[in-house]
Amino acid sequence: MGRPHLLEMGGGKGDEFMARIWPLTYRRRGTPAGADRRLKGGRSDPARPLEFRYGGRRLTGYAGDTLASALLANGLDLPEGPVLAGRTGGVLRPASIWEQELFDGLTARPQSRRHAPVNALRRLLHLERPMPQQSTPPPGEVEHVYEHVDVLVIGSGARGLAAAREAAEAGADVLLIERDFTLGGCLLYDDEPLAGMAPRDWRAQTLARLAALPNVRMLTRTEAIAEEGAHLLHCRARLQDHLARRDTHLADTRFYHVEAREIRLETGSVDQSFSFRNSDLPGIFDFRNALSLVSRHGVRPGGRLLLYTAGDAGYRLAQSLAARGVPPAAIIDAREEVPGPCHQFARRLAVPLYPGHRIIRAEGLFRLRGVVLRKTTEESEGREIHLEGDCLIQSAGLMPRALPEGRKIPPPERLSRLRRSPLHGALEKAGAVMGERGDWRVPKYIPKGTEEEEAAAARETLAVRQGAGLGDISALGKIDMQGPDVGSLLSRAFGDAFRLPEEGRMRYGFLTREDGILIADALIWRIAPTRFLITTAPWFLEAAMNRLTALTAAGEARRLQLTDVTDQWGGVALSGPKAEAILAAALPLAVMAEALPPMGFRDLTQDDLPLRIARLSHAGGVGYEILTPAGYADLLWQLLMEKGRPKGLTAVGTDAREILRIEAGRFGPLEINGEITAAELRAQLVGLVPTRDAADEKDMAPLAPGMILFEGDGTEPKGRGIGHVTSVAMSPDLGHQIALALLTEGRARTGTLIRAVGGEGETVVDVKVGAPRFVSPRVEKRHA
Amino acid sequence: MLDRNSALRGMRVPGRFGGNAEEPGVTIEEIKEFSLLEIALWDGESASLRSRLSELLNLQALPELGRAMTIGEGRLIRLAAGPLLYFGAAGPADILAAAVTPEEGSVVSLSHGRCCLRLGGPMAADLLKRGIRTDLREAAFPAGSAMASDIGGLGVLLIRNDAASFDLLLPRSRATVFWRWLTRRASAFGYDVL
Repeated sequence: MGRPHLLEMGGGKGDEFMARIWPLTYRRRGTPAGADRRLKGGRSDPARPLEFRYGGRRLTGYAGDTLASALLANGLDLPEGPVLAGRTGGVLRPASIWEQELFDGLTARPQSRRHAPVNALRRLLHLERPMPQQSTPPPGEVEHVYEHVDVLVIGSGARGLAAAREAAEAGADVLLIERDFTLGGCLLYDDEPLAGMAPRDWRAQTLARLAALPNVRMLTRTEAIAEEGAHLLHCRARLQDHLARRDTHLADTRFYHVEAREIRLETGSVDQSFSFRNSDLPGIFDFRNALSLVSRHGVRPGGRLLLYTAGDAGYRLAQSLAARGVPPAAIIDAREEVPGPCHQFARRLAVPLYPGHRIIRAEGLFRLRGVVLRKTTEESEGREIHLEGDCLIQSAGLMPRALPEGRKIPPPERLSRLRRSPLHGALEKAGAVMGERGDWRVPKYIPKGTEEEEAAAARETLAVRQGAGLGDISALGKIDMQGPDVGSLLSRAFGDAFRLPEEGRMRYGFLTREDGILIADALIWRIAPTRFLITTAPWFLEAAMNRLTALTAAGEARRLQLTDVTDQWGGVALSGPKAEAILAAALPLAVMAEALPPMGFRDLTQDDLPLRIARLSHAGGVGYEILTPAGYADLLWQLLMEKGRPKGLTAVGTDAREILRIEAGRFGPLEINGEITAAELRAQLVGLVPTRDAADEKDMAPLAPGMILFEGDGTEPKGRGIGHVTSVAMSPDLGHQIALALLTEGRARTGTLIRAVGGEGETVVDVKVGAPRFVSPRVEKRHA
Repeated sequence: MLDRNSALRGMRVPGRFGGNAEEPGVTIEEIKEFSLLEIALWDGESASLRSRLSELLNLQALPELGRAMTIGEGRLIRLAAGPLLYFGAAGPADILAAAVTPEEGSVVSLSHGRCCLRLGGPMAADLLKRGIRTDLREAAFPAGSAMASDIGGLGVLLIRNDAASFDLLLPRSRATVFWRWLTRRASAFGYDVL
């Protein structure tokens, strides 16, 4: 090995000039494409060539290569910025060039073509290097695994494998994780003998031993991302990034949440970099990457290697490199006092040694062309030495590899909150258009042919008013309450004035907070002397359950049990003037005995079908609500539809039920809004109808929930108004809009005209205040 | 006796699915007919109730916390918190429901409110680890154990039948959401729907 080229100041300027005017030519000349840098040995397997693309070029690498080793083996420089990688024809995502495993059909490219010229310009102008940005690939489809082990070992180097074996042989349940795709860590490239064995042999022997132990699991491509306390570690595994063809059965990312009695961090150490100008040039590597390239992948990182160290490790590396036929062209040692054996070593290898020197800058615009040294002791006026080289391997020392900081703990997976009624299938079969209401998938309307939503809802509403409609009420919140102390709890929950219904009867009640604010309106069914069923709208269930549970916990009497039985029961509402006749045809037992009184219910079984039939109507007028165990709800629906269809029974969706609710002036979630007491609700709830003039105006802006109400005296609407519109519907019975509203001194304003104002004041509708009931339902005689 | 309509009707199709088709790691079976009772006792187990249970069901004592005790063709379950549960055939359920008087406690049927899936196969526990945070290793959760747990915000009751068999009870109204999740996660192991 001859002496390195010593260049005078100004040497190489011609190349820099060329780079300035024609960077591509310069780059091609500097790094000839296709130059084979493969060495003998290594774990990359020449018998298994893999084709891949990089920046539009078709290249070949070997199984076991990383993208970095494959690019360098093809004589290309590593890109300066982040790279994107993925399957050919698929989506390319940010990837680590040192960790991306090569596979047949991999396509990769620099994330931006601007990085290289921008960096070259920055170097030319001696500008500071911006902080490199870390790109994390999007997780894609994610799954979580919750692991519990005795010992978790992070890292599969010599210490990690030894720790895993020791713990496992002592009987512990062991999980070992390794971020690389091959187990072994430093054993894949180190030369230092271990227990008198070559590292490669020790690795093979230890892995064989671990594989034979049933209480050890080892995961590759899995990295620790965050600690939570002393015994919980979150890890991330990429499951698809190395596969030539996406495995449709696997998620893209798997998060392991590992609880372990003991966590062993055996991640080894990382090289510390020296600080000098242009230290980010392509062609500059740290020790570990360089050694990995040479020993593990059998790839020469450059043509003319310079080695920069501050310790004996650099000489061991030089020895390893020399043993593989790639001795360094020079060694630069930053230490002022370099031990004698290091000098002897350099002499033996015939490698020039620069003791007590430091690199002050790397030269080159697009890639390394050389370095400039100066004596460590000399100030800026000292003599500069130029060394030519296209590869610099450097390490200022080692520091333990710590877990990354600031990574977020991945949020747990949440299943969809949406619930399905036991009648979902029957309604879908009937052609219902499904929507969402609170936590439930609900049938919005059941169109006939090509009927639009509004027309279908109007038809269904009129069917209930004039004939009969059948709606799904399975989503109603249902709470079973039993025990000798239930009565006193209900009195506390619904107010002292609340009287418990008799057995077989129901009563409405308002559930309130301590301060009197309404939580829900509910129907209390008395099943037995000490057993009740509470039903409430789906959106009030959680608040009602919480309130009743809190009252139970706070009370002294504990002989009661609350159970959410919403899912246990399916139910239907049969309403309209023909409801009773249909009930008589479908469920004769329900009406054979004496007629149910209003707000009465009865449990019976007909043809093995258990039923709870209650006489009440959500829509006003005649109506029945029928509950049955959820698994039989389909049968009940079919039976009623079959017997009722000849009598004009119509399936009704939630759109129509909402219109019916507003027509009947019943409360919904916008009336019981968490800010109002029962007394205020009674006093303030009014019905609004547009004045005749407004209703006749074709282009009239419609009423809408949230519109603010103002006095109708012609003054400019200002301030917070006197109330607001809560619910609005187009009543098919009346042929115009109707609305419920909360209005200050509302009932006292009956018959007056006020104004509803929406948006920024651009929508104004004159409305008349009335009682919150718009339609008087027809009643048809029993057995009509 | 009427046939109970499955919450998974139209979704649960028998057959072999997912990867690893040669040797699927999981079996999934829906248990359609079962009784599930929630039994609360106001003042613990009274002497008269104990004697009735002993006489009617040969039940000498209540199960320990977190354990499921076999009675007839069912199991009486005592979770870490909350009331007792009975899960199994209708016979013992009827006896239990009749045995507990309103002065002693309450009995509520949840038989139609839950969907029951029996998971089996060598990877059943690994599949459950995709959602359940509690330690499912046999030493920590042996056969005959039961717990209330949570999978992605969905409350479930899990019973271990043996090393590789679990019964999972979940709210009926979210059974289809859970089924999609379960089969997607099981896909990696390969699974048979029985």
